[in-house]
Amino acid sequence: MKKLLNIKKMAKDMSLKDKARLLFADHTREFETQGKERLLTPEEEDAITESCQKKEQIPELNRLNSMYNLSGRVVRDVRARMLHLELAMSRLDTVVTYIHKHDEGEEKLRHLTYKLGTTDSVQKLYQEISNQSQSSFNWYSNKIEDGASSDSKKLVPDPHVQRLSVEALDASRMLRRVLHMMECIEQKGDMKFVGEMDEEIMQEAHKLLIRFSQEYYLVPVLNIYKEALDLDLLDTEQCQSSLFLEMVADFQKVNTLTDEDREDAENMVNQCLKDH
Amino acid sequence: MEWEFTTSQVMNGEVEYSLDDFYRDLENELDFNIDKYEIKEKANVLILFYAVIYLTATGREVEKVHELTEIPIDLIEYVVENCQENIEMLKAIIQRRFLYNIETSKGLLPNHLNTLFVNAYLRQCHQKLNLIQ
Repeated sequence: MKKLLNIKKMAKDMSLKDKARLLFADHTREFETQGKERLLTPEEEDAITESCQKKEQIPELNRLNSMYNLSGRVVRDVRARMLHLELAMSRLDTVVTYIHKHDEGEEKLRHLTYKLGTTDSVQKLYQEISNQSQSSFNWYSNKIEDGASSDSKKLVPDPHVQRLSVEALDASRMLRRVLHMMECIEQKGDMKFVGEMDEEIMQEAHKLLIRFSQEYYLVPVLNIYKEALDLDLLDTEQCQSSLFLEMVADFQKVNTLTDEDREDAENMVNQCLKDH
Repeated sequence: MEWEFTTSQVMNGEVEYSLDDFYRDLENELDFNIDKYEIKEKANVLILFYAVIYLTATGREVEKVHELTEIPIDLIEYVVENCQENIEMLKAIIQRRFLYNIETSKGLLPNHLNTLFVNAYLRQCHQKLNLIQ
């Protein structure tokens, strides 16, 4: 049996939050179906608005509506930041894969040379092949010779890896920032503003950040440099940015929002709500 | 020396047993067995034992250890014969370091870099223990 709710009648006794929820759900549905579907009839929408007018709830409804509109813009920003982070991760992936494959080739060559023996002709052949296969990417930009000791020159992290790691971290911080903006909006309105589809995007964003922090190749890559840093083998002066060094020293520490970031995000939310 | 754990447990990282721990235990064992010596002599005996154990654990033959340390061959042979368990344990500690680097880099670290790191790690440990400058 299908039971129809009499929204017009119910609107009189509804709390402001429930009325707002109905109006926002209706707008979201209309937006998601490109105007083809709505949850409320125009009469029902008018009844809710009238009820708000009678109870002098219009200023508060407008305040919540501003938050609803802002949350929609924040979701679009979240999607853009997700793409930015995925792109940064993919670029770093390419370089890491390239270095790894190159290393694998070199290891095989070393093994083959070892099996063939250490005659001059074999050594010469090894050198020739090795020189030809010089990669434009390496974990360290200064080539480490076999048998190099810790007395030798200090190691400089590959500039591409440095730049792309910092870019990926920046992208993840930007995403964290917009997600924090959404938290601020929901806290201010004391309700959720996003619909089902947008909620899925928010969930995906959180999952992406977990993947970036825990499952992605950045942490193992940074560990390669962390070991060198701990052993005093890293040429810290040749690093492109202090942020890269901070990432190497303690990735989890820099991979979170600072108090300043949070404050900035909160100020931005306040400013946007003030302007509308 | 006797331990409550095996070399396999150390190598697999099930038990944390560092080179510092190993050196301290070796010191205690020698203290217990050679208490008739003066403190300075004890220190020299400890360094001698450790040098032979370390060089043997890292693959050097008796002749090579003699060449590097000038310790009499019969003394080297005595230490090697009586410290087999120590040699195996030190091997496990060093192998653990290799495995640790492979695990933390999820296999991205190439062998030549791993060797460089482990050598630097051993050097750092030996510096801390004042075995080298």
